[in-house]
Amino acid sequence: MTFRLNPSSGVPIYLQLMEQIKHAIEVGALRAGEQLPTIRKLSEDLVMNPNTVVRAYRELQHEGVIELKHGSGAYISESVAGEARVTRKAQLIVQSALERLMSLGLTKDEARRLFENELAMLRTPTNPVGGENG
Amino acid sequence: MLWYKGWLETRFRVLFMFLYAIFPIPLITLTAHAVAPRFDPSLVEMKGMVGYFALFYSIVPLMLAGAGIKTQADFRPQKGLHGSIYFTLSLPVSRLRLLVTRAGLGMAEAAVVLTIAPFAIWIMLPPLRVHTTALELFEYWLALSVCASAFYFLGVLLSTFLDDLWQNWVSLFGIVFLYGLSSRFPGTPVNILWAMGAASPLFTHTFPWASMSFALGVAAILLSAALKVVETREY
Amino acid sequence: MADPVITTQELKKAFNGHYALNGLNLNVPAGSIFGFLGRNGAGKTTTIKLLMGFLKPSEGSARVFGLSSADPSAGMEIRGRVGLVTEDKDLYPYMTVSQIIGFARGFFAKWRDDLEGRYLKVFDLPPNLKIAGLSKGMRSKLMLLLAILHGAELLILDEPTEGLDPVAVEDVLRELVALAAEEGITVFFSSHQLEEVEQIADHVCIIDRGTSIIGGSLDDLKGQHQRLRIIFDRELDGPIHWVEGVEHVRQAGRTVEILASRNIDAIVSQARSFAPASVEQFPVTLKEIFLDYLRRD
Repeated sequence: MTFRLNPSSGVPIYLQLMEQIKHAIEVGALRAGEQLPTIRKLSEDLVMNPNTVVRAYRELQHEGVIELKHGSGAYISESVAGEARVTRKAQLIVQSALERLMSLGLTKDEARRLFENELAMLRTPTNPVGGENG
Repeated sequence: MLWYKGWLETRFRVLFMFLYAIFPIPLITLTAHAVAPRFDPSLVEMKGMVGYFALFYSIVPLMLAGAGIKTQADFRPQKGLHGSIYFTLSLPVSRLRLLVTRAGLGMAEAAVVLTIAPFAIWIMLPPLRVHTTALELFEYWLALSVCASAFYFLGVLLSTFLDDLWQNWVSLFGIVFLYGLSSRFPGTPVNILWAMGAASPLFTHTFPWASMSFALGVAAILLSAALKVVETREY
Repeated sequence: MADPVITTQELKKAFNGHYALNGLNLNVPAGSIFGFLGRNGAGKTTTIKLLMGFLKPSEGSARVFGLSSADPSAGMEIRGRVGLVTEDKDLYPYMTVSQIIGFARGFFAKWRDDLEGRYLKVFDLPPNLKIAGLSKGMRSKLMLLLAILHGAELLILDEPTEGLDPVAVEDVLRELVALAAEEGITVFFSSHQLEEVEQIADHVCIIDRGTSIIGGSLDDLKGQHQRLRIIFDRELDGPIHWVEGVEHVRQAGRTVEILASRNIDAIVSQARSFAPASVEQFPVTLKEIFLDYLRRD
């Protein structure tokens, strides 16, 4: 499994890594019980700060996505299997919403901007960054 | 390793000083024969000449002096020399050790080059050979080196705050100035140049103890001044 | 939690009456990769010289490993544990790469002979080439090699990737990250390449005119800052007096762009109170933070 991070995108790198690991799980590139690379290996391969990897792994553990077994490394949680089903459901919702927007005459770009705006305005109950972010 | 670094920095200088020390020999012996077929200076004249040689050879220690902080170049201009002072200063070595090592090396080099002096005088002044044994030539070299240490450490002090080019010029003028100054005190220990010339073992057959002690005293003072500069200076 | 490796307290340094550093407070955590940023002449190199003991503070203090950098005997211990790459990357031009490695080796008890071959290869440094013949980038890598081989716990690097092509830059960054990951080495580096800093640093400090403007954990900085773009469908009567947390405002026509460092919810509420056509939020890059805080409009 390879990851591609963009340090200059403005999104904190550890969040990007978390997103990509979650995405990998959703599409099946990473399966329940599989081992993730060690912190050392991942930071060297991606040329990123090891503390950033540590933070991403810790947050993922906190969310229950991975398990950190002392001494042997990071593993994808067994509970992850159930979430793939949720993802499939969500995919269907988005597909139908998009069909309806297209039938209203929106272009793809307009639709994308709409979604991004609404997402940005959304108050998320579990905010990994903390603080006063909206 | 500091000795090695110092040697790499000074080896061309030493070679140059060797040539400098040797060049009067052919110059004088050849011109002497051309000018006066019967080259037979009196004792007084020889004392005068040896005095001038003392002035001439005093340049040697001055040119070989260094304080070990800034990186010195040989005579070719070298890009990237100036900033290497920070690399040297970043090493876990005290500025005292940097100074003492480089100063010690230079003094040793000067003493080695100065071995030319008795040899040169022996060749250039044939009448002197009658009175002079090999032991006395050695004594002359020793007295010359000890007295020259005063000039050497002046050079070390100058190198702590002048760059190479300025250091060389100031040293040259310094020597001439000191010669003039010390001529005002003939016959006293202060007149180190006199001790290296007319009052040297070549003529007195004994060491000029007073002047040698005075020279060592001056050297010690100049060395501690150089140390103070090097330790308190900001780079 | 280990003590910070570098701390400065109200550090000031004056040259002929002009204050190059005017009260700098730094705190570099152990094991971090710390980016030290600022415009040219802001005081970065002066700070590094003070940490190394080349200069003495005019006021305030600087401590490395808890030791005072101005104290000569403490300075010796500091220099034994710190690896430095200087601004000009000048070494001894008359020595070869091998010679300077041999020279440096003599000063350090725990020299890493076993790593010499590896780093000569990774940094592509020909052992028998004279330093006078090396480019600035190669000298930079050589200085870094010397710092790593002597087992430094802290690397202080002044623009370590200057003069390097992108492949060499990535090699250097990878080695720095590996050292942090495997040996727990702290890396304190100044750089103008904000993308590189963003890539490997976990903490930053931006200094300007001798003091720190902003600093801290890079993730927190980027997480807490937001860029807001508010578009109105009418001209505004006058400038808006924004609530706390707005660091910079740019108003052009009917568009207002804000860089906010906190209190985002309140700012968004305030923005909405003016009934704008749209309010958009964007994450902020290090470059945007740097430029916005340092541009003198």
